[in-house]
Amino acid sequence: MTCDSPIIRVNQLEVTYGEQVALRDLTLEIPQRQITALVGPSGCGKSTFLNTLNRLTDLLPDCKVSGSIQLNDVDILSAECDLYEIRRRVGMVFQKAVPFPLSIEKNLTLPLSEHGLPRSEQQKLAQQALKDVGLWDEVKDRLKKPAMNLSGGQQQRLCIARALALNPEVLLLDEPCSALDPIASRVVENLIVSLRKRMTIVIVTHNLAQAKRIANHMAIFWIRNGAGTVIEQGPAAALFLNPREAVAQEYLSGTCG
Amino acid sequence: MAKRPLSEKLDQLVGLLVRSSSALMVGMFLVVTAAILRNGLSGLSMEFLTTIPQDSGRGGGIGPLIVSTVLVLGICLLVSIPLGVGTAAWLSEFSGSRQVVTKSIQLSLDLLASIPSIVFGLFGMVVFCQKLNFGFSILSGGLTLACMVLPIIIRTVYFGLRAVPGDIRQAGTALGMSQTRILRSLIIPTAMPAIVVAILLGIGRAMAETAALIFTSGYVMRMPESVFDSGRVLSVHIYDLAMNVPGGETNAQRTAFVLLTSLLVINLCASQFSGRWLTGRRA
Repeated sequence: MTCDSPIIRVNQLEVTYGEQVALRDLTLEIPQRQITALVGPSGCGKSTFLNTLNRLTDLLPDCKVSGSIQLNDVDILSAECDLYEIRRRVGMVFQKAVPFPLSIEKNLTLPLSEHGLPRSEQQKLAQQALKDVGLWDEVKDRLKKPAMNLSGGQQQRLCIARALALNPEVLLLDEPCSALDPIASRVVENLIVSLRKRMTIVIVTHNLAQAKRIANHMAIFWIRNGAGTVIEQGPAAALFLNPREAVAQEYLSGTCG
Repeated sequence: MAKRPLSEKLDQLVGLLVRSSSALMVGMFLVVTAAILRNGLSGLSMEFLTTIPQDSGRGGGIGPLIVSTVLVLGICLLVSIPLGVGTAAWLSEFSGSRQVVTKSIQLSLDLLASIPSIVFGLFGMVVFCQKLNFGFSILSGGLTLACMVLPIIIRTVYFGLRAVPGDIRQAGTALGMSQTRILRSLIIPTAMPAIVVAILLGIGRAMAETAALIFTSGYVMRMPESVFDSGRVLSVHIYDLAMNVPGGETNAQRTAFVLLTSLLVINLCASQFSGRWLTGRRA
């Protein structure tokens, strides 16, 4: 099933780690300025897929990626594409919050200075990003203090702010709430929903209730012939109501997976 | 159930062995320190630390020798720190999938670390003193020591860099930061305690060295005027006074006391720093 105005078009993607095929024959479209949830059991390549979208797979020496991923008109997988530019346009937040062992402010300004923004601009963007994630009032008096001292939920919001400061077109979130308590999780979830107007969001989640609450679009990952792939995709509401594949039906109703 | 009394006895026996071996260790340290304290502390004064040695070292002080030691150490560190940190950074961050290269570097480091220091001394004499024509000099001695402490520094820094969690590299990369920037702004600062420990360990190793310096920086007790002068370091002085100068024992003990105290201070700093590193940062 296709969607209107996709910002990312994935075609015949295959990812291998040495001998092992992690993803095969994956074709997917991700609609612009919507929340796309990637769901499915563990080990079927959702995180691997997310990592291909900003070429983090390059960090793994024996990982090979083939097929094509179009971000608007740029082929992310081509050798000529500017990696640093791709990673600025496609931000990422991980399951575990990874604040840098620096001050709160430096966490935000370091990537900005790497992308060549002048100092005055850096501080303005950092402040705006902290306001966007609702952290500004909590930390404005201790910007110079170590980010490690923040609580788990605050750290995760700081990581989202760090990604937002670069003003990405696409934000990838790899189970951003799974390490948080329910209250912090709710705060982050609301934040994600509020970001939808500004950017495209792709979120991996194991929490089907969360997917149901926030996703506009959904893709179900499954193992087929020993490798992960997308077995079904489409508008989230329709997919929850009436999945075509039998396994998808069982997975979404909670009887398997 | 019948086994229990036996295994309990075994536990007790092992406990006893472990305890007595640690007691032996502490005992040995105390005996050595006590001997040097008793003999070395007497007559130790500011004058001893600042004046020139007289009568082949039987009289006078150790002023020039302290200067030589600091100079040799300085050259050693000036060369070994950048080389060591650089190699460790390459091994840890940039070697990628070049397993064969990294394995052979690791192996050669292990071998280098196990070479007796006298062999380094001969190597230094041939290469630095003769081939490069630096003669018996503080420069030759410092460079020889640098070769000796490099494996220690590379190893310690390497493990320090590897101990930096991988997700920091991943998060930095995901934000579009270059590998060099991640290394410079995130990984090196995080691993800084390990780098400091590596340097302190290197200093300790270099200051305690005698054999490698006899053939390279030489015996001369004069105040060195440049790094091309020969200069006698503290450990060589102790060796010479104890072995070749009848009646030099008292000053040998005093010098040993000075050397031991500085080493102790350096090692205390190192353990303090590494302790703080392990408990402080990861909270």
